[in-house]
Amino acid sequence: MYGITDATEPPDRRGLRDARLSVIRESGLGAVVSVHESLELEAEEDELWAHEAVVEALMERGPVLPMRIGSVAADPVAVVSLLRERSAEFRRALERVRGAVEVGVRAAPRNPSAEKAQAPALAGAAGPGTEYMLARLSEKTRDDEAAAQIHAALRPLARSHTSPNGSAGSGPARAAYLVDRERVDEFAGRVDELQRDLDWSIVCTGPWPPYSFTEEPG
Amino acid sequence: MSEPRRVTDLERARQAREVSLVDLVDRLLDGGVVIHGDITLAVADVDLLYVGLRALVASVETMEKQLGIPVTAHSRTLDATAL
Repeated sequence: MYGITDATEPPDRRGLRDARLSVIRESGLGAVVSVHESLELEAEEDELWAHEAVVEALMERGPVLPMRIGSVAADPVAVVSLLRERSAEFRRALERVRGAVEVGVRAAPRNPSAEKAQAPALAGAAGPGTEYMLARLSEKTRDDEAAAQIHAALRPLARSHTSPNGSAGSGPARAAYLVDRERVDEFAGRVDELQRDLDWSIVCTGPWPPYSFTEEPG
Repeated sequence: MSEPRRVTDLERARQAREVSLVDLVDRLLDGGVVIHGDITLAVADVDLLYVGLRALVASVETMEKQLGIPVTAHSRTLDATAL
């Protein structure tokens, strides 16, 4: 299974292992699938992109809930029951993502060593170990604040977002944002401004199908 | 301030590809609709691959920090024409 949509026709392309795509319909929903005698994926790059290409083709035509790669049902009946049992949930989710795309953001201070050099001298009576820890702490606080500032600046441009995780101390701060298609340029522009103002390196990728927004919020 | 090391276009393209790939892996193996019960996941050794790629992106990001250059994902970086 590749994704759940409200489309009635499969996209005009091939799926994993060059298989033909079809749509299994039930309760006003369509599951886009390809049929395989057996399927054991190695999660190699070409397999990932093959799955992704189908989901992106669906995304071009309307809202889609991407399936996690390698979701396999024993037979079409299992797919029909799934759509029937969770139809209300899937319909709500399709409405939540309609007209929006996912943007991934990863942010890290551009020049951590320079920041370290500027860390306030907290020497005094404390030993060098304490001094080092205090400097590290102040550095981490500043990085956390900048990460929060980035998130606060991007959040209003998004319909929804995942909770940001990671920080400069433990790798880059990361979050995913669900952004209206027509606001993606504005979002990317804001990222550029933040990079300049904060001297942080902010990488954003997308537009992705809404992989991070298939579940009910909260 | 020290001069950042020069990075060739090829090297940047490789880094960009890695960043894209990690974002892809994050989404396909960790996101999306998850079904329990009759529907199973037919992906072998996901954990190993996942850990490997996370290690890889960690190194890309370290490089990015040290060089002070944003690694732009060429195929997937936001681009108005891609929409």
